[in-house]
Amino acid sequence: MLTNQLKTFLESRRCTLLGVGPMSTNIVDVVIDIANKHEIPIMLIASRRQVDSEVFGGGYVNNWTTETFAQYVNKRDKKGKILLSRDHGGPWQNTQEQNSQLGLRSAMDSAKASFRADIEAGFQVLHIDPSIDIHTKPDIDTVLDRLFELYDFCWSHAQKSTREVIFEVGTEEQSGSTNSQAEMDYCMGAINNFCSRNKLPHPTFVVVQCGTRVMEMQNVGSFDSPIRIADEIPVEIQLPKMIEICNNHGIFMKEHNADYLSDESLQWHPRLGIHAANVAPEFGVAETKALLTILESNGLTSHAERFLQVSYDSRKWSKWMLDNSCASDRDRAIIAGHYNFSADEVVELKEDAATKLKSKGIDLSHKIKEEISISIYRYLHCFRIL
Amino acid sequence: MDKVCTIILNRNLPNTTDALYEHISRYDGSLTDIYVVEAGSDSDKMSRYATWHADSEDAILNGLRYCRGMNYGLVRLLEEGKFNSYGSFFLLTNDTELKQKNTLEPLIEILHEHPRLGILSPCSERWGERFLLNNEPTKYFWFIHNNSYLLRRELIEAISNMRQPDFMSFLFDGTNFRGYGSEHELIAKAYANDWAAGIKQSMVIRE
Repeated sequence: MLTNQLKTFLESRRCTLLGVGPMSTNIVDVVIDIANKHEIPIMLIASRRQVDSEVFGGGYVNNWTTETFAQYVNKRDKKGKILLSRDHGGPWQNTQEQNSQLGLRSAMDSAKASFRADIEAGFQVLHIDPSIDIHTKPDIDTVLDRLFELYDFCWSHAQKSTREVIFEVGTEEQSGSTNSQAEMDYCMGAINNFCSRNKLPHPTFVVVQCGTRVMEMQNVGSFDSPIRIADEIPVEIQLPKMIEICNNHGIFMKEHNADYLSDESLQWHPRLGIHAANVAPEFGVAETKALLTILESNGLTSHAERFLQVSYDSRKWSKWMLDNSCASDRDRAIIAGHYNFSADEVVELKEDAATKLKSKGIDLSHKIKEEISISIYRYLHCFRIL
Repeated sequence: MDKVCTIILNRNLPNTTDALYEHISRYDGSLTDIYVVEAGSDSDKMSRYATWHADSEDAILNGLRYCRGMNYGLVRLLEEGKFNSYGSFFLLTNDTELKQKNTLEPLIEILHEHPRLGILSPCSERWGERFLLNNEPTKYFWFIHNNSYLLRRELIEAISNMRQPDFMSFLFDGTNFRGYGSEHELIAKAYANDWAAGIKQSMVIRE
């Protein structure tokens, strides 16, 4: 039923659906407000690092567990427009599982525990991604076997819990930078056969790598590039073929890492028939930049510096850096900003800043949310949702 | 085998252009005549093999870029009565690097094997398209992100402004100065006139 609702929405507006990473409370609040104001579906796509079950100690976003995150959203989402979504659920998709060097069976059990919590909390879209293996490089059939095991588990548990879930499969993290068409066709055939044989619902979304990749504060993939990227098939060739394969298999195409694409590239998404796209770090960076601008333009430079220092010292920026990066320390701190919003020192300095700004008639939270809204509305307009 | 006309577009990079000219002359000289369009180059920065010098005020200030530059060369050939003596046209910017072997012969063979192939591009060893080509020597594409093409004369005649040709309006739309989307336009016009565009494997260029 949810798939049909999304299909109706997509067909009526000929748009691209938006998935937003819940990088902070402010971002979640803004997404809920916008979705309810305009009565449009928006997915909140939580990765296991951002939000995970209490069993795993929650995630870095607001120290939410799956349960408390879902409660927070459901309480505020009066019109039921938010689709709680798991992004990249699967074995070793959580830092704890990687650091513990879990073996395959333990990692699969751990993934199931995470999915169980998702389903019970009311997550509706489950992205099953078993492509990560910290011990070996699994071949495609091995990854499919793991997918089938988790798929079956999730559906069974959803049935027992009388919860409606739809599935997203695939990953943008390939050995090459774009999926091969043959591989995509093979996988979709295998997945559809599995679902038909076992009387399971077919997946609603498949993740396709179409030339998007986020590094630092830019999209470095081929989608937005006027010049060729080595070893990548130009998006003008790759995308229509991938969409054709998706349509042949009756599945919606989802793009990940759509952050920082130009307006023109975003506007091409509904025209090309890309059904959905995920955006995450850009909104976190937007919030960080908004915070810094407000602090620095209102004489709270020391607060800004302390925040930047905490953020830089966390080194959460390191995985986002380009080779031979020219990023300044400030840039790095901005990139890592949203990972540190829940740090005690940051919470404290923000509260102090908010108090000081209030005396000037400035509502810090409101100002930040305004900036986040601008970022999100850019996508909604370009994707033809609004 | 009809002779190929090679047009190299240069602007102020004489050494690079000379190297490309000499490469083609060495490996493909028997198959092609080579012409160099100087797109507003300074007089002391022209290739020693320069054929024509576009020296209008605008060309000197801004150059011609690809669309106007190639139009310029092709129209000069028309004016000089040489256009029809060539079976195909190899359009190159001066930064094209070819491997140390014959480039044109394998491309021309493909044109002979595929009578409706109007546009043929070599494939770089760093292009993603080589994964699609796989073991096939040639595949047809609806988009080629390149500006080194071998174009069949009949294709050019079918889609160009043959009535009042000039550097602003012939094969390419000269009003599109920077050439954004010009490859889309060229290929779309080709297919609309029953000509195909393809990429050839194993005749790689470096980019």
